[in-house]
Amino acid sequence: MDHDLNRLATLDPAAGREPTAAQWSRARAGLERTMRTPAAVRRPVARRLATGLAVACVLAAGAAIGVPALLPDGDAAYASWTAVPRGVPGPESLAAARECARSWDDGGRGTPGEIVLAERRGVTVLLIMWLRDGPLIICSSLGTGHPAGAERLSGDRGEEPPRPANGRVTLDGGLGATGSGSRWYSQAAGRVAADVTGVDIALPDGRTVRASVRDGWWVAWWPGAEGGRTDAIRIVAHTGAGARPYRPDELFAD
Amino acid sequence: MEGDEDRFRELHTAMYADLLRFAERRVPPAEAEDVVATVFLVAWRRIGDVPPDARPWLFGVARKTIANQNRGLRRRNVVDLRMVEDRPAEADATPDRVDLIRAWWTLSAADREVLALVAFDGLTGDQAASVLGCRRSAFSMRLGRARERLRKALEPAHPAATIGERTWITT
Repeated sequence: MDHDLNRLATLDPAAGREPTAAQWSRARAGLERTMRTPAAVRRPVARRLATGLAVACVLAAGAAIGVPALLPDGDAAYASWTAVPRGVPGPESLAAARECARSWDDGGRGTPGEIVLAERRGVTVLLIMWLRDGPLIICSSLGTGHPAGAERLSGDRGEEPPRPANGRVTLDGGLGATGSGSRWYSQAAGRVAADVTGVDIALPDGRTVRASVRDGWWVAWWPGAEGGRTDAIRIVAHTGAGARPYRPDELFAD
Repeated sequence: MEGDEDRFRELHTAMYADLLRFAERRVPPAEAEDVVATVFLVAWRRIGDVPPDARPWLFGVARKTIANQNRGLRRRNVVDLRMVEDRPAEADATPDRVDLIRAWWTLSAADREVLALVAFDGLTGDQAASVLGCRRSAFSMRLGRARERLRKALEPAHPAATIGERTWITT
């Protein structure tokens, strides 16, 4: 390593750290338990990309659009927000997808692949989309020519999280809130079972946010910090058999 | 099957301490053992996929495990370092070390992550790229930029900066 990295290595918080005897003991007991489970049912991995790894790394750097707030123009986004999403016409969603793909790539050369889901709440367009040579991402755009935030939903090689069992949804796309002062918003996203026809977010004040559902994914965002509070919301999955509310902790994938 | 078990035991013996250190750099000590246990569970289930150079593969699984535990939205893409932040209050820290710690915390979480993979975890560029799931060339570019920003942060005239990286509060 060069000088600067050697110097940095002196900060290593785990330098010289060795497991204690108790940790080794617990680890070996855990090893035996693990080996009592069946080894390796191989799951085929969809390989949707051949050259998208660099793209993935670029977002990991937060260089393009990983860090900025969803709502840089917060007033318009909050003021125009709607609890029920609208669809986005094809040309408009394609334009937003192009912006997202370009911004995802550090060099501005990213190109969009299939658009899985597009919704509009006021001025904010939210997309779930494949990059042509990259992962599935969720991307927000204010329609001002600048995507406001994005994160990946699939692995580096395009493998999506599996769909859940009938009647269920997941939170594979995450649940959280971000903001400051009075400007907070929450976002939730995940997979839906084939028989789930709709998803709602039930907020603690009685409001309901209708999620967008399409092609095995659902997503919703709303002004407020409820997504960051433990057990503050319920996610309601609608099927032909009726509606079932879930606590968030029931929906995170193992 | 017996061959798998032998290989898994060898892997565990060889990598447990290394993985525990990797986890302890990134999560509170009380959670590190759980992270490592999860990594070995994944390794057992996918023992046929574990490459001969298992270290970066296992570190990659650990990184994903930690990222999933965070359950953040944007933060899923960066696994930040911790614990270094516990040290600025060291009473016996030299001015040089204090400057280094201060410079470290002016960097973005993404910069800290690439630097730590090399400086703390001791990975080569190829291995670190594997952990992050990117090309070697992309990792080299990121590492070079991070080192440059670290150098600038260590320059005497560099103003104390704080990184306003957005943090998701997650359930």
